[in-house]
Amino acid sequence: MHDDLSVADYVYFENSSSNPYLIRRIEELNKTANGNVEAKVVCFYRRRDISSSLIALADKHATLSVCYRAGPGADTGEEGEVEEEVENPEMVDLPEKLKHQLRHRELFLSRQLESLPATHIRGKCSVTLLNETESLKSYLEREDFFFYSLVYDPQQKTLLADKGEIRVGNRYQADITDLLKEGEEDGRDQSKLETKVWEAHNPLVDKQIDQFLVVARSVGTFARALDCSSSVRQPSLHMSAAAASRDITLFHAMDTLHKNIYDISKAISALVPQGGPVLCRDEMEEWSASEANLFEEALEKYGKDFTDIQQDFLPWKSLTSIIEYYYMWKTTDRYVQQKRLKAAEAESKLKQVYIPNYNKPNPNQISANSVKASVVNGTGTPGQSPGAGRACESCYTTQSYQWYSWGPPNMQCRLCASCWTYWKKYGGLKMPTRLDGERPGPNRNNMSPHGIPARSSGSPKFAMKTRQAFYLHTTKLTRIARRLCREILRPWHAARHPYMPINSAAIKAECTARLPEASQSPLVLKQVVRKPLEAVLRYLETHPRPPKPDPVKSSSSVLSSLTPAKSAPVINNGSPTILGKRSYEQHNGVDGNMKKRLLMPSRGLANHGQTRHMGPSRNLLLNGKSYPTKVRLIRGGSLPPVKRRRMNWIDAPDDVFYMATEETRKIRKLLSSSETKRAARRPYKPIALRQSQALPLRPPPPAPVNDEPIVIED
Amino acid sequence: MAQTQGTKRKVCYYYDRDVGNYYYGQGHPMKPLQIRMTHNLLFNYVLYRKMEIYRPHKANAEEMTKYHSDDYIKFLHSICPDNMSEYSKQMQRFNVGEDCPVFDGLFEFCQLSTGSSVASAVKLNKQQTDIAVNWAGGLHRAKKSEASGFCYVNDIVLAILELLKYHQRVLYIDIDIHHGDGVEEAFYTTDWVMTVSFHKYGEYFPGTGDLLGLAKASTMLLTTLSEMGLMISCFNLTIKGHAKCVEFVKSFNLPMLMLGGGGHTIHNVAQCWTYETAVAQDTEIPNELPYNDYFEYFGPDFKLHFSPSNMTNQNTNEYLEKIKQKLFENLRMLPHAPGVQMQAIPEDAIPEESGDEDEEDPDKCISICSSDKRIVCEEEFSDSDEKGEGGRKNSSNFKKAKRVKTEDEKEKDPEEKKEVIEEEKTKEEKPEVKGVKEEVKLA
Repeated sequence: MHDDLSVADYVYFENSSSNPYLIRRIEELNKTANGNVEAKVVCFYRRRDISSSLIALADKHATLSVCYRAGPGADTGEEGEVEEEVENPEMVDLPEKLKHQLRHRELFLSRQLESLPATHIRGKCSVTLLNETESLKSYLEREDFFFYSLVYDPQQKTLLADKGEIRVGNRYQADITDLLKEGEEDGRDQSKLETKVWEAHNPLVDKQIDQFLVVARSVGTFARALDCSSSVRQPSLHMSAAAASRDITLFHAMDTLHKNIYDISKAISALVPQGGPVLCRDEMEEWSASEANLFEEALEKYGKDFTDIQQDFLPWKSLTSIIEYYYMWKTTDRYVQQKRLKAAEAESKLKQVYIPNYNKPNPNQISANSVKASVVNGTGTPGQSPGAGRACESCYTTQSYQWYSWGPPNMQCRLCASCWTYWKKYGGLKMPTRLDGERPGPNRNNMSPHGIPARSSGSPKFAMKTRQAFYLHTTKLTRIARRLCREILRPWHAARHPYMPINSAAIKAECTARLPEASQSPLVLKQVVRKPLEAVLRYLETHPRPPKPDPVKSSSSVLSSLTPAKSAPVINNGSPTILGKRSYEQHNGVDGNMKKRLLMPSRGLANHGQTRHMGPSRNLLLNGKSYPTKVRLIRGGSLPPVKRRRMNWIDAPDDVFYMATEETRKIRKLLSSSETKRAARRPYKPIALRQSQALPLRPPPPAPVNDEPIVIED
Repeated sequence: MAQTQGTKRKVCYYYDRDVGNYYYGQGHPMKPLQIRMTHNLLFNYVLYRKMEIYRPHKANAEEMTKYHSDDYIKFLHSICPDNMSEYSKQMQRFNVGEDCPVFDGLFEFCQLSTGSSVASAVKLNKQQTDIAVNWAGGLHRAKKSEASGFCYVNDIVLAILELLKYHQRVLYIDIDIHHGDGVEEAFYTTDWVMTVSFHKYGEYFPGTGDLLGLAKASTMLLTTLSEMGLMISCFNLTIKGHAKCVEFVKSFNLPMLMLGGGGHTIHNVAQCWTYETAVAQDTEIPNELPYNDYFEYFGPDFKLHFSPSNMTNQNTNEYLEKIKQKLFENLRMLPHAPGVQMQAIPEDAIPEESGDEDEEDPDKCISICSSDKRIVCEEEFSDSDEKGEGGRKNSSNFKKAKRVKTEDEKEKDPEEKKEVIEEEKTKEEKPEVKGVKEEVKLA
C-alpha cells in the first residue's frame, strides 16, 4: 500500500496496536548509526486528541468560516453545533452520518516535531488546508484524505487559525497625503536622492565601449606587472591578465567613461592619471595567501560567524571585506573541495526511503481460540474466547472474515475488519452510535497518542492496562541449576547482559548430570528467617527512609503502551515564520538516542516535572545519600565551554539512577569487596569509611535556588 | 489595450556597490549578495549599457517615518550587534531578533534599499523614465512598527506614498511566494492602492491572504492565491513563467517600478532578475551566461534558464477555474472607482458572520472578519462589465491629466515582488498564463 516515502509526505504512524494511527508529515529522514531510518515529523492532532472545550471553540470557528464559505448548494457546516445548525438550513440536509464522518477527517496542525522510527509507518495519507472552493463532501469521497484549518498548540492548549492577520488602525496603516494639484511641486530635490553613474543615451556605440574595456584591462595587466605584491600573487602574465579582467576593473572603466562624458581619449588618460596605470583590485585579489589560510582556518572554527572571524583572526580586515571575500572564495577550488567533504556528510540525510509493507498481525486481532491471556515464560496458554458472536460495535454486522478486539478489555467489544481499518485511519467509528461516535476508544482517557498524559476523566474501567502481563515462573530445576551450574549460567553476567541468550538446554543437561553427585553433599543453604511483618513495620517506623523522590512518575507509568513517540521541545510554536513553518533552530530539534527512547514509556513533556525531582541536588540525595559531590549548578547562559556531560533526563531509565563521581569511584576502590556487597544488599545503610580511608570531601554544593538544569562532571 | 510588446521603454536602474556586502547572519536565507550577482550579470550581458544607472543616496530617518513610526525607526537606527543586550525589550516589541536579525549595517542596508525605491518613485513622478528597477528593494513584509520576514523598512509603501502624490491609483502586484502582507496592511483601508499578491497560502508564512479575506475585504485590495504549481522549487515556476508577469504588466505601458525582494537560492534569483531586466528593456539575451565574478555559482550548466522539473501540477484546471470565479465574484464587489474613505455600513451583501463581536472566540481570523465588517463599503457593486472611471474621490478631487503609470516588479523564485502602479483602472478579466489570472484594466 505504500512504497517510496519522501520528505513532505503525510503518513500514518502506528504507536499502539489498539489506538488509531498518528498522522504525521515527514520533515526529514535520517539514517541512525545502527542503520535504522528515523523520521523527523510534524504532528497533526485529531479531534479526539483535543479537549472538548477547545473542540467546541473550533466548531464555532468552523461555523463562522466553513459555513460562510460554502455557497448555496454546497454542503456546509459539518462541524456545527446544534444551535448553528438551526441557523443554517443547509446543514440540516447533510446526513448525520456524513457529519459524523467528516469530523474524523478534520485535523489540527501543530508546530510540534518528533522523531519516530520509520518502521512504524503504516501508509500514506493526504492532509490539506481546508479549502473554501471544495465541497466538504469531496473530502469524504477520498480515501485517506484529511483537512485542517486550525493550528493546535499542545503546550498552551490553544487553537489558532493558521493565518496571520491584517490589522486595522492608526498603528498599521499609512497616512496618505493628498494628490498634488496641477503645477504643485513636491519639493523633491533629485540631486539629493541619486547620482547618475551611467547614461544609456551616450554617443558611443557598443564596439567603442568594448574596445575601451580592453584598454582598461590592458592597463590593469600592466599595473599588476609593476606592482610588487601583485607580481607575487600572479606570477604569470596570464594570471595578471585574468586578474585584470575581473569585474571591478570593468566597472571602474565604465565609471571612468561616464565621468569623462563618454570621451574615450579623456577616459584613457584617466586610466593612467599620473603616467602610472590605475590598479583596481577586489577583495579576492587583495588578500595574501596567509590571510586566505587564516580565513579558512577561522571558517572551520567559527562557521560563517564573520564577526567572530574578524575579531579573533583578521582584526585588520573590515567586516565587509571579509564578507565580500567569503562570497568570492566560494568560487574557488578550495571551496569546492570542502563542499565535497560536506556533501559526503550530508549523505546521511535521506531523500527517500522504501518501507516494505507491514503485514504482521495486529495483536488486537481476535484469533479463533485465543484472546488475551496471561503468558507464562513467553508461551501462551489458551484462554476463553470472549465476545464470540457479538456484533461489530460500529456497523452491527455479525459477519467478518476477521475480528479485532476494541475498547477496554473488560467490555469485550469487537470490530469487523472494515470498521477496524476505519478506526485506525480516522480515529472513530464509522457510524454514529448510541454512545456518540466520539466516545473514547481504548485507553483514550489515560493515554494520548502524543505522549502527553491526557486529562483523566477518572473512569477506572478505562484505566486498565491492555498490555499483557508477563512473569517468570521458576521451576525447581531452574532454582537448582542456579546453584549447581553457576559457572555456566554466570548469573551476575547474565543479569548485566539480559539480552544475551542463555543456552538453557545445555544447562539443563549439565544440571541433570550433576544432580546425583550434588545430592551427596547437600548444599549449605542459609535458612532465611523472616521476621514477622509487625517487626518489619516497627523497624521501618524507627528507620524512616528518605521519601521516594518522584511522584510524577505515577501518572506516566500508566502509559504502558509501546508508544515510541517522544515529543521534541517545540521551538517557536507561536507565529509561523517565513522559512516555512519552522525557524532554523527548529531543524536542530532533539536528536537523541532513539533506541533508548523506545525502551521507555513516553513521558513527553512531563519531563520538566521530573527534572526537578531527579536532580540530586534538589533534595541533596545523590546515590541515595547526601554526599557532597562535585555537582555544579549551571545557570542559564553560564555554561563554560569545557568537557561536560549534561544529564539527559529524558533518557534516564527510571526515577532512581546512580551517578558515579570521581569521589564515589575513589570510595569504591577503598572498599573491600565484602563491604561493597554488603552495601549493595543494604542500600539504606550508610557506608562507614574507616578514618584512614576517608577522603577529604568538598563542601556541599550551594542549595539550589531554582530549577536550572544540573550539570555533572563525570 | 496596449500597443506594447516591443516598444522600447526607458529604464532607470538603481544600485549601490556596497549592497552586496551586508550579511544577515549565518544560515539566514536572505542574502543581499544576490543583488550584486544580478548586477554583475547585467553588466556582462551588456544590459548595463542600455539603462540609466543611478547610485541611490541613503534615505534618512525622516524619509522612513513617512510611513513607519518614529520610535521604530529610531530603534533601527540605534541597534547594532554590540548593543543588542540593552534593547531586548524593544527587540521583542519590534519583532527584531529571529527572522529579522540584528546585523552589522542593518540600518544602512535599509537606507539604501529605501533610498533607491523612493528615488525611483520620484523619477517616475517626474516622468523621467518609464520603468524604474531596484532589486535591492521590495521588502514587502515590514509593518509600520514592526519588522517581519527579513524586512525592516517597507520601501514599497514609501515608494507608493511618493507615487500617490502624482497618481490617483497604484496597483501593486506581488509575485513573491510569500504574501506581501506589509504592503497590504499599510493600504488596507484605502482604495487608492490595490494590492495583488500571488503567493503560497496555507501552512506558509505569513498565513495571510486567503480568498476569504479577499471576499470580505472587498474594499480595495486584491489578494490572490496560487497554491502549488508556481515558483521554482515549491512552485516549479520557471524564470520565463515568472517574467510573463513583467511582460504582461509592462504591456499596459504604464509607469512601472520593479522591485526585488527575498531570495533563498541566490543564483536563481540573479538569473531571474537579470532576465526580467532584459524583458523590461525588450532585449533578448542568450541563454549562455557570460563570465563574471560569480560565474561558478551558476554551475554545472551555466545557463540563464533551467527547465521545470517534472513535478505534478496539483492545480487542476477545475480548481484554478473555481478560484478564478471566486475572485471575479469578489472583484465584482469592488467599487470600481476609488471612493471616499470608508464609513460604517449596515450588514449587507455579505451574509453569515453570525456571531456578535462579543461572543466571538479569540481566533485571529475573527479580528479580520470583524474588522472587515467595519470597513466594508456598500456603495455600488457594479457589474463587472461596466467600465467605470473616476478619480479619487477625495476632497481635492482633481482630474488629472491622463497619464498612466504602472509599476511593476516581479519576483523570482522564492521571491520577488512586483508592483504596478497605475492610474485609471476598470476591470476586465484577462486570463493569464499559467492559469493565474490577473485583473487589470486600462481606461
